Amino acid sequence: MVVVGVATALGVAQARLGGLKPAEGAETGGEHKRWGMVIDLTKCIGCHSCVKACKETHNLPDGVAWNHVYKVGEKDGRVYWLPTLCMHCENPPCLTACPTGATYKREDGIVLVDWSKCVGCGVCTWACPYGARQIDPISGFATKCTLCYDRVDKGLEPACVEACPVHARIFGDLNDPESEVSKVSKAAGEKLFVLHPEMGTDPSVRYIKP
Amino acid sequence: MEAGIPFVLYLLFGELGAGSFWTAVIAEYRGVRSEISRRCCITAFILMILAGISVVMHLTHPEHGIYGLSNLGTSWLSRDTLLILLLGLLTLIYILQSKFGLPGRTPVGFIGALVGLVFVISTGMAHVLPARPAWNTFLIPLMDVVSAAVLGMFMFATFSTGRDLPEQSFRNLCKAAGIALIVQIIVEAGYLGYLSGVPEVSLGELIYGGLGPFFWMRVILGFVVPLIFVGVYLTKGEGTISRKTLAITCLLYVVAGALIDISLVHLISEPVTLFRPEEILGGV
Repeated sequence: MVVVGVATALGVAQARLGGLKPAEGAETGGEHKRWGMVIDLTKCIGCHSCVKACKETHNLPDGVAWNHVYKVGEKDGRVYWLPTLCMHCENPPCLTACPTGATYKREDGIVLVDWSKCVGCGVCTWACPYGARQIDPISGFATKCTLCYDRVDKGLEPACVEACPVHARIFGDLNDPESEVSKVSKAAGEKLFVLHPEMGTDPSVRYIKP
Repeated sequence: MEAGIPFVLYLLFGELGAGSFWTAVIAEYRGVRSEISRRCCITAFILMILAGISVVMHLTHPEHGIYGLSNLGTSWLSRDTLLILLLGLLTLIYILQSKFGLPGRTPVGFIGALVGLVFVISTGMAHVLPARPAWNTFLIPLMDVVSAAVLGMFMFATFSTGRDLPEQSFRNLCKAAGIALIVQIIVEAGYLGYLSGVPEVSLGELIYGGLGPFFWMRVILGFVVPLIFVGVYLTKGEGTISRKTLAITCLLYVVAGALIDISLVHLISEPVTLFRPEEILGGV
């Protein structure tokens, strides 16, 4: 009974925070895909719609946010913003640091946490240079952006992308040269950048400078 | 990971246990009676159990601890888990060999000491992360190793206060502990030098700001008082301070110093600056 109770409680907690199932990604993710995002800082108006959409979609509790929007500063009389989320790195430092193997990367590049293995040690929160990870104060598990893998697997875009009123976020397959995200990246040229390139994480979330 | 009290205690007990064990092994190898060494090893074993309890208390889901060895390839924390289990096992075997006069103690002892050393290094390496600039240096594991050596020597000294250890041996132990303390001061001064180049850390805050009282407590409790006691004992002999007073006082002070040191190292571990506006906006 105790085992069933614990399992049920974990199941409820997982469902509330996005319901991660480790095998799902490997089965449904495309073999050669690399899901990623380009965020055009010239378009972002700092409205926080992405933050709200994310919190609502994943029913995140108070104190937990997978998306953040930071004020960068002013230039030519305009305020610029920097939205951040899990960068779904090609070389995720959270994955190498995780002692239990709870953090894993799907074949399509989405980095997830298998809560059935997470001990809540929090070393991943130390290792991530992007501040993308938290320990959920309620469930006690490591929590982070899932890139809405369940929506993506159904052919939809992540909630933050869909909610952006100015289409500042472009989502797609970074490995497909014909995808919009690849074309926008290419067109951005030298204005395309990633956060902390010196760490060799190779983020799948990229930015276009103002 | 916000390092709460259980995690700080895990690090302290781990260093204390590993340091005590390897000091006991080396001391016995150098001719110290096995009864003294065994008492120290039993204490080391208890400390390792306490370390285990502390780390379990730190985890929010210890029931998944069975997966703790799943990422030995890349995770220092995973290696750390394996090493403390191995160290505990070897310490227990060493104690049993000593108790029942079984053969093969020397190899078990030295392998255990080596595992203890690698365990302490591994604990330090778990902190060496580019995302935490204050820790992203080899000085972190080095500090841990030196700290474990200091703690271990003073722990061993508390078991060496009786007449069954010759005065000269006790003096040699004090000299070794004094030298280890001086090495520790040099290494920690080096770490302060490293921190001076880390923009995420305010050295002023650490030395004379909000953390200043703790920093100076660490210096006085962990370095100054034990060095004075050791210095007085070595220069004026047992007539001034008894072995027991020296050993117990110094152990308490170095433990307090280590506790503050570990806490301070965690308190200054600000994450790397996420972005610099001038890099995004181009010199604005």
